[in-house]
Amino acid sequence: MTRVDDLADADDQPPLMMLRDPAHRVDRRTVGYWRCLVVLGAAALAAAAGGLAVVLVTAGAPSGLVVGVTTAVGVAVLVGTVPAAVALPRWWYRVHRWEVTPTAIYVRRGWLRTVWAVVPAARLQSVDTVADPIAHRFGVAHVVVRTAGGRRFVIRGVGTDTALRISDGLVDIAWADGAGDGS
Amino acid sequence: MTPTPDAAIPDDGTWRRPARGAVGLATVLAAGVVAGSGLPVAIALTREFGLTTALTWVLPVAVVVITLGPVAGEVYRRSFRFRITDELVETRFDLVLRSRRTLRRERIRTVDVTANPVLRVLGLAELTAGTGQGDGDTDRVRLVPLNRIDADELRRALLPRAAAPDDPVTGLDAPGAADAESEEAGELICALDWRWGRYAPLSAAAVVVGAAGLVAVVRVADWLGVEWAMAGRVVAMLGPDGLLVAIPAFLLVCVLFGMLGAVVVFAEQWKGYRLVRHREAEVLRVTRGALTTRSVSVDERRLNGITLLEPLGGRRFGATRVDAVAAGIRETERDKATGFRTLLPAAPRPVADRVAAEVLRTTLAPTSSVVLQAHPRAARTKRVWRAAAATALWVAVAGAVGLGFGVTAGAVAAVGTLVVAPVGWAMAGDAYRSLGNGSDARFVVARSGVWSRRTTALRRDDLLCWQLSRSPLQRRAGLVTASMIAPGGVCTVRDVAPDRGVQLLAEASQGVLHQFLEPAPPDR
Repeated sequence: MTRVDDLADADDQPPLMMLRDPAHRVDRRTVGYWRCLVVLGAAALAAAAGGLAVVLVTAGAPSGLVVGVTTAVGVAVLVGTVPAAVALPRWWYRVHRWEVTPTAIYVRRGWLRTVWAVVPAARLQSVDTVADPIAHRFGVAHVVVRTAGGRRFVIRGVGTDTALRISDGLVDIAWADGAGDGS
Repeated sequence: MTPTPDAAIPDDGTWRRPARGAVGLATVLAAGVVAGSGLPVAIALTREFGLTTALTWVLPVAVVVITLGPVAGEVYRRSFRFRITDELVETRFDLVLRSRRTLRRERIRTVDVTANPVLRVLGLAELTAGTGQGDGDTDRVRLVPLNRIDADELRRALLPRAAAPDDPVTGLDAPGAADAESEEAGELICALDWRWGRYAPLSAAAVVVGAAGLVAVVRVADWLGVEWAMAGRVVAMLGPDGLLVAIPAFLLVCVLFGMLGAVVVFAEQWKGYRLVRHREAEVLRVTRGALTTRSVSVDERRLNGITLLEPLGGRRFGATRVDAVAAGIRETERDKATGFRTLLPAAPRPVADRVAAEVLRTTLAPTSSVVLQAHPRAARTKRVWRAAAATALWVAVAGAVGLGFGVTAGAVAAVGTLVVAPVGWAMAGDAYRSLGNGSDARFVVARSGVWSRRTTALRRDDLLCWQLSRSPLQRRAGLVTASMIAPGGVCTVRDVAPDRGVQLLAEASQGVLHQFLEPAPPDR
């Protein structure tokens, strides 16, 4: 059943179309927010390693070995954090893009695997603006969109004002023209 | 146990409790726990300390557990309440902690009624209703135990525009009674053909059953105190020549047992199978099961599409299974092989095509009418490299083992490599040949898979996200993955040329995607 017999038809079709990237980058301040998250994550890792070391030593593990391993982990975290905090947020900043039109939401995201996702506005069921305390300090928020079937899509790292504007706009679109009937 | 209707009128909004049978059920379960764990302990203690000591330890505990059973049942019955109003299904559990769950009635997509042998003997059943809105467990309520009549009544009430309320109430899951009901309320799409059982020995179930049998033998031997030393003595007694016969013979017995067991499992799962469309309710219903009876109802308007599965073993003989793609169907805890999604067990391909077409209300199943395009050669190259990497890993591990354990192990490893490399090569080729994608005016179709070749067809109108993704490896190979997401499932086209991926998404999006398209750069 698998055939490549459509090559003839391909000539009749309009020139090859590709997805362009979404129009907007994330907010500049998001880079600082991500950097903060990376540093906090590294700190949490280091703290966990230290705590584990204390527990192991009190439980009677050979302290020389434990101290050695902990130091190694600590050094690795320290050495790794600085380049990660510099490079990762920039990388994410380059990858993440978004665009909202009257009929759809278009997001590019990803880390190693880049994802271009389009969600039709007609299928939205809820629109939330979310900012954790750290994001709030940086003046950054995420727009969380839910569709039927409990699927979630997130526009990450837009300015707080922009997030509100986006979600207001989406609410208008999704519910104005008798859409939002769910399904 | 007489089926007293505790909830004769199901949706008048008053609070109800689980059936009185909960007490009996808890007693039986407690007795089961005693038999299952008490007996081995008693046997073990008898070996060590003699029968009297064993009994003085085990008996009191057993008595306490069995006495606590009915008490726990009654406590549960008093703590758990549910009610069904015009708009809501509410459950509350108030015991130390209070928890409540509320589902919007109109959001309920699937209702299934199951009864394992214990529940059946007691005239009880379990009902699960799901909305498919949340992820995980929060989107469904589970009512257990209910009297079988009430469960049936609730099932009908909970799905939209259920069958007329003046239906004579029938004993639900007895297959004979189901006949009478479905004939008047619905249209039979498919019923069991015992000849399908011939695919069972080739299914993955055979392997599982064979392995389970092996484990069971070892465990019983362990209980009865057969020492491992004895196994060693048997090996010594047989000698190398004897072993050469004994091991294949033993494996053969395992395989035969697994095949036989798979047929038995098939019979248990699918006896009395019927797939029915209810005329008024737009509900698809599967009833099946010999010992544990299952009844799965899917709101037809929530059916996003179907998946055809061709398991590796039976593919050559045309064995094809049909699964529903719909939001709210619960994943099965244990039997992944034949879950609640399954609309048709592995059956001949024409039967599967017919069922798929009827379920989707099309004249031809999209899985056979849509012509699938092959994927670019780069997709094959990628799979061959993957197989090569797996083989290299095997060689490395086997080589290390060989170095560690001497010449014999090394020889085994070398022979193993001779097997692994061609098998990997064959699987890579098979994986590539499985790949296919296509679409027509109503459906998008994707096919992939080695162990089980899956062909998924989703209704375009139900899609709520069109997605393109590219990993670093795909970037180098000039491939992308296109996913089309519906509430109940995803149609994933792996490793396709970027222009074809975009074309599929654009067609599926019915124009919405066009605003994000631009002519491809001419360098391709």
